[in-house]
Amino acid sequence: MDTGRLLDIRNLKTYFDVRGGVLKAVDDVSFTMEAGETLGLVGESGCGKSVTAASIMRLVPIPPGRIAGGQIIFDGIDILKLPSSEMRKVRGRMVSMIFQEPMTSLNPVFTVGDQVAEVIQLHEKLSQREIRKRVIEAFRLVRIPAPESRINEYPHQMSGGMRQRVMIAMALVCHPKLMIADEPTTALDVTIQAQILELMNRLKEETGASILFITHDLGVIAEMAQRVAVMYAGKIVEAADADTLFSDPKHPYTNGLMSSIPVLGMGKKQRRLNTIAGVVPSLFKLSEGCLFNERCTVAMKECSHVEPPMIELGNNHIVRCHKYG
Amino acid sequence: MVKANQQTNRPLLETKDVVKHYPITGGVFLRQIASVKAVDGVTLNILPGETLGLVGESGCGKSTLGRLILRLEEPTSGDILFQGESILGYEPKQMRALRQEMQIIFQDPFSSLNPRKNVSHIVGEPLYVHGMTNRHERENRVLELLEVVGLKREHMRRYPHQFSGGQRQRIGVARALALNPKLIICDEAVSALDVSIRGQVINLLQDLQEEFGLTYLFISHDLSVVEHISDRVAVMYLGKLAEVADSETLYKIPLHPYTQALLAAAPVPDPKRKRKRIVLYGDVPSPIDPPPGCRFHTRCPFAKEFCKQQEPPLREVRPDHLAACHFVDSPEINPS
Repeated sequence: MDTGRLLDIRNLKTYFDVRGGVLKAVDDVSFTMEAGETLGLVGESGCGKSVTAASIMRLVPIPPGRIAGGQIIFDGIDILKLPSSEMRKVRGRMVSMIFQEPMTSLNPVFTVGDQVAEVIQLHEKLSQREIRKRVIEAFRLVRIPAPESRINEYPHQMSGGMRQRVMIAMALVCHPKLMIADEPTTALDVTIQAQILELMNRLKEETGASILFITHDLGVIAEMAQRVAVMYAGKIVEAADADTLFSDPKHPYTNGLMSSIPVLGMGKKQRRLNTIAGVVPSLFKLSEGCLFNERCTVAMKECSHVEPPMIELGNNHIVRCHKYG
Repeated sequence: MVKANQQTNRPLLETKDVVKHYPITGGVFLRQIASVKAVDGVTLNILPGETLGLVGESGCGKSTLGRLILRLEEPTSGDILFQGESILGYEPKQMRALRQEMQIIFQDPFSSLNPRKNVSHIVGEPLYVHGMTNRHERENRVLELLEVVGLKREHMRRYPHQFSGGQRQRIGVARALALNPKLIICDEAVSALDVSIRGQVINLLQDLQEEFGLTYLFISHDLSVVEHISDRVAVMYLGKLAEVADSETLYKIPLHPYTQALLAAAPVPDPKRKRKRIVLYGDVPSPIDPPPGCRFHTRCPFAKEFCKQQEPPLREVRPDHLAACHFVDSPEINPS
């Protein structure tokens, strides 16, 4: 079973049984992560990136959700087969998660120090004093000034950036091997976002943890990730090293995404933005062939009825498109 | 008719030292104990036919300024002029007539459309309010508007929940266009949209501007979108303007340290472009008790003792390039 990799997701299928049919939120997703690597997962709303993260944490509500197939092998163990009591030991300790909304993901009636301490209490047998020491240490690690007094504050007393630091401290405090960051800076202002991104990069070097970085923002991905996977309608359509993906995107969807964002420093030279026509398909009535078919500018005949396989282009670059078949 | 009146260089809209303080009450008798200084003395011109971008972080007062211009909020002091005429003294009736000229597109296409009304009603309502009481006439105009924003005839009887985010924003645009306004305030109009849809709406806004000679005040926190769409850009920080210049100049040679930091902080989708980062430490101070002197001095990497005492005026540092910084010409900040 051991592949030597930190995370190996094979053919993961997470479906939701809802009124009106089966919603294939994640459909046949495979990817791997090495230790110490940052993998960026990009895509638009509803493409399944957050459900992929929730599947790894086993936080998909069952029912209506269900894992319809596939394996998630983390550090040699298939976590989909773990009983929930064992899974609780993995969560927070081996894999932890940083959520988007620092305003709503902290409990307003407990001090931030207590909330970070809870993670340690769950996983390690330590005295109150040692726990306090660890919490302060974690706060210092995420550069919260005056940690001794700030651990006694409530979330509403902190700014958005500080709250996100608390979230990161909580995710880090048990030294997990993998941190999943789901849009961690989307709710923050640019200058605060820059602080948090810098912090995460520095922490990664200090702790050696891998980061699965989920975002819709290509700019943030470019700054954070070594490898990038692009998701569309529940599937990965392209994955490559960040440098390759940004300089030489192959999939028409990736191409479209890249050219539909105005790039800072280009001015009004780019008079019109290229756009991707149409909208993301409904996950209920997915077509037979390529899911991007209807919006694709280079679609061919077979695209409407044959699903394109994942094609290896070499140099770690994979793409799901008939054009390269 | 494209930008026909641009030669007459009279601004379409002027704000003169506009201030908006929201009182905070407290104590037993609910006396005013402090105030949130949301907008604190902003003087700004918008020229006919141009797009003025207004950028800043959350809480800097950019949305409040937009609402003040429409008189959705009453300013505490200062003056607002539309086509050279002060609108603050306008009676409600005059104001309603003026609103034909100024419209707003809101950020959230999910909460700014009434879920219980169909598209025909939503887009037709401003027409009805402003005297187009003939239903047939109104529906024809709605149809025309839907076509302009890229929606179809069959969409007319549908309700907001039946549309995607991008389509909803198009409905918002159609509603704003209904009365042939001169000025449209776009308050984070594309921020809630996905990348691929955002491009479509930005293009639509630009096309409409060309077709109808519209003037936009484009309020956004997204620097790259603002650069793309704006002719001139104003940067706000804690209720005051930090810098105003034409878009190209501002993005190429930002003079104010805050603008410089803001631009340096914005992530660029190119992993090879490693830029010199100016990371600003700390958070934006509270607008209840803004720092004395220059409001940016608590985070400015170049702040001197003088900055804490004296507030820098917004002055013309270069031709048509305004900045509010005492040391804007020091080689430390702007090496020439």
